[in-house]
Amino acid sequence: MQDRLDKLAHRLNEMAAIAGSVIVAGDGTVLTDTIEGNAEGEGAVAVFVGNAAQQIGEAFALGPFDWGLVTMTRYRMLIMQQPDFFVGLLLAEKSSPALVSAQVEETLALLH
Amino acid sequence: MEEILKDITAVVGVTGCFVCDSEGRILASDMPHLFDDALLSSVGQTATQTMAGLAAARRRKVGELDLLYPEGRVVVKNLRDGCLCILCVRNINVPLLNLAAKAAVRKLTAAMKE
Repeated sequence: MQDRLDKLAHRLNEMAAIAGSVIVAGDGTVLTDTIEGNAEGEGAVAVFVGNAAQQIGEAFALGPFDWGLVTMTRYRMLIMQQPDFFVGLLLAEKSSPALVSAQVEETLALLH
Repeated sequence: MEEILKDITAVVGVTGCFVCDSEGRILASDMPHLFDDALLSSVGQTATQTMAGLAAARRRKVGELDLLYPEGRVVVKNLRDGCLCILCVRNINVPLLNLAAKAAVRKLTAAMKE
């Protein structure tokens, strides 16, 4: 599993639209990252938002959380739900969350 | 505040929206009746607590959350003393929604200060 996650993190890091990635378990444990700086802090963002998104989706009966975007001034993190972890992606300026999530889904499918 | 919310609900693809304070108490709502206040309040509380937690952890104010699901989308806008939650279809016209929401956020923030 760790090899798969490391491979995923490196593939994500190669995408121009992504400035860094963190893969974090539901309890906040960082499994792997390509973050320059505080990986635990970025992982916490992914987990906070991912867990909240699950709760909100259940309340509104919208189905399982797919992906989400948190924006804090110029900071944007795309969070994607996977069965065993969350993927947190720091987006480069002017990158499209919808396009990035589609590309990442393709990458995740290839690694399964 | 309900009149302000109607401008958002008028956008094609929006199911409804509501405003809550920082405790999750519903201040105004334009949502279908099948969503009662208790449910909306729990969603509001989750959203406001998440934004507060992120602000404390990252020392940055959260502008918005945009959450996608197979059956819809939830957009949460920070109102400083609460939040605006918008329930819509997954493939909503985001620029159009943001245009309507931007004006509404300004008016709602002012209304909440009164």
